Amino acid sequence: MSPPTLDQFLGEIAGIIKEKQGLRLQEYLIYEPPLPPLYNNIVSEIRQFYPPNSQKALENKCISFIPEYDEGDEGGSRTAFVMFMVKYFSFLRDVNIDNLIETHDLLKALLNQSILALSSSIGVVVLPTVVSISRTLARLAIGLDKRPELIEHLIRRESVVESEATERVTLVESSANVIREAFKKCLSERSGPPSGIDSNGKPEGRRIGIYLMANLCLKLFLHCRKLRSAEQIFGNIYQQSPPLGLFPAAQRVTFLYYLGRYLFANNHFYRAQLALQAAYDQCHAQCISQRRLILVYLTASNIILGRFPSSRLLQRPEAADLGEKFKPICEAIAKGDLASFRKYVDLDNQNAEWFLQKRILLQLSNRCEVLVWRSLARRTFTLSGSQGAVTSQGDVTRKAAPTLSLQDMLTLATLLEKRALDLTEDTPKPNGLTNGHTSTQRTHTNAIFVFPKAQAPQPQEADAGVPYGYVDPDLADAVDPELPLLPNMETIESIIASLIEQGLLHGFISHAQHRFAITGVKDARPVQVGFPRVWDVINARANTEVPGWVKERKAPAFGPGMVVNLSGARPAGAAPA
Amino acid sequence: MSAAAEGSGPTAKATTATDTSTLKDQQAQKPAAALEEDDEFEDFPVDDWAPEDSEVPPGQEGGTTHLWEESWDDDDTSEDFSKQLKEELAKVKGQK
Repeated sequence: MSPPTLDQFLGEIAGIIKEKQGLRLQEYLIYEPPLPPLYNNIVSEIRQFYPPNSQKALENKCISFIPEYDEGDEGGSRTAFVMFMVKYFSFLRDVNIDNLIETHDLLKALLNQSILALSSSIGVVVLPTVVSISRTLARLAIGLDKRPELIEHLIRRESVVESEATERVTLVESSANVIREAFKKCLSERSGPPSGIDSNGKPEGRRIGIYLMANLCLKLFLHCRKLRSAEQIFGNIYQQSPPLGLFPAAQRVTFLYYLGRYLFANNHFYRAQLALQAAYDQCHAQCISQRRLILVYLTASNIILGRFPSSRLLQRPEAADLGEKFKPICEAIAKGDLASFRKYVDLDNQNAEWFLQKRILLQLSNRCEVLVWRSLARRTFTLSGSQGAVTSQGDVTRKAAPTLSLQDMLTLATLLEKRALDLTEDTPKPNGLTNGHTSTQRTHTNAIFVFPKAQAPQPQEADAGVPYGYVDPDLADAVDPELPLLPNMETIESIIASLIEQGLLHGFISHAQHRFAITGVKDARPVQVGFPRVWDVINARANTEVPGWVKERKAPAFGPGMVVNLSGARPAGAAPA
Repeated sequence: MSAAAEGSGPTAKATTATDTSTLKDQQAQKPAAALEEDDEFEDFPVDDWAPEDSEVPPGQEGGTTHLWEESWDDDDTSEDFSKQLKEELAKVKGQK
């Protein structure tokens, strides 16, 4: 006797394959419980006719239905699809969703098999199914990652592997690695013209899945903080993908968001701003949650680049309460109020947790400090600077350059740094994130290793492995800087020199007179010449090319896998015709 | 064949509907992770849309500049912060 429902099901699958109906195949291959009644019939028939040890029989069953078709570019097409069907039926038979880890592993195996089928000539038909399984796997992996009690034993297993000098791969990353194989299959599609674009201007063949798969990988890599793996995705796309503009809006926006996040995390704020602005502009007006997340990173990038969110922007629905987070930082920058700035980016600040969770605190704190110093120099100049005077001696008219007293700037910087310290000196630390130092006390980067022998720290229970009083030989003669560090003339001169170097101040330092002189004023206002707008300076020297973002069709570069047509080439040494 | 296809048509729809409900269940079960949940870039409900559906008109590169202030230097020297700085400068100069 033959299993009737299974036979009917396989017959229909065969028809779908013949008609190359990818979406219908995906609709048929239901795998997420609860299953519809028809599928429950299939499951009971498989359990009855094909128990776990009858793999070969199930395989033959599938072969008898799935038609022969042309072998794919990577061979073994029918076999790969048959094996995928076998895996699919085994999955239905074996899955037990009460055990989520096991479900995850089974689903990963199913995805693996579907990716093999993706290589065949019917790969495009299988693609929607691969995308669907990948999505479910990604969701399950992230869901599991958020439930440490379920994956505790895996973490322990991983740490054993780690001690064997193998790189530790988390559950999320292992899923991402499988999905990445599907991404590579889509990207390496060779059908159609070299541009990868068909006659309707759409991506040809499996290429249609490039950004769907890339976005899933990027979601997982960002979740498990594997930026290096994300970098590979962007690199592959930059080399091989058709232009991003040919793909649907949802894929474009999602991709540009991840690209922007990646660039931000790598301190490429200008490029991040370009990608995120494009994502924001193309995002559907009603998708507030996505617009908001894009806007968080776009705003952070822009502030670092010297562009502040306008009140008009902050009134938009997706910007709700972003103003109260970012505005105080912008105001402190504009005023040169170092004390308030330090307070806002301090770990004790009420918004710190939010900034930390968004992973933008460090960048705002480090990068915006430069802008605060620029404004403080500017404010010192407006309050006490010499505007430059015209003096005449006989026939010679001399115009002295406008200058700013570094001594005055030191006075103001000292006042503000002291203010910042006063605010936090008596405040106990609620968390252990600052190594026990008050966060505004600026210590030597390596201060935790620099202990004069006499004051070596008492060994603590947690640090028992570190030899008592250990001082790194390189730092044996180092002196622990006095705390707290207040600025001195060298600090101010260094800061001004650095600002000049970055183009944020226009002029030179007179070391002998402790003054900063503004040059090239002529008829303009000294303050405008000496302190150009930050965004203008950065924008003028920036390049708008963003690696990872394919904006237009490129002539394919030579590389591995490229076919070079040499039919017109002369033999070496032959004379030109 | 067509009978079975009709049979599986609505069932497939039914599964999609339950998909979202199970997802909601999962989210409801995890109030503790609510903070992190916010950090995930949600899937869009539709795959494609017309440029008009995004607020900023297409091809208007300069149209976005009003969203960002590039001139923000604060030249007001009469407010409290500037006054305090002026006082400090006068005080320190007076000591010399």
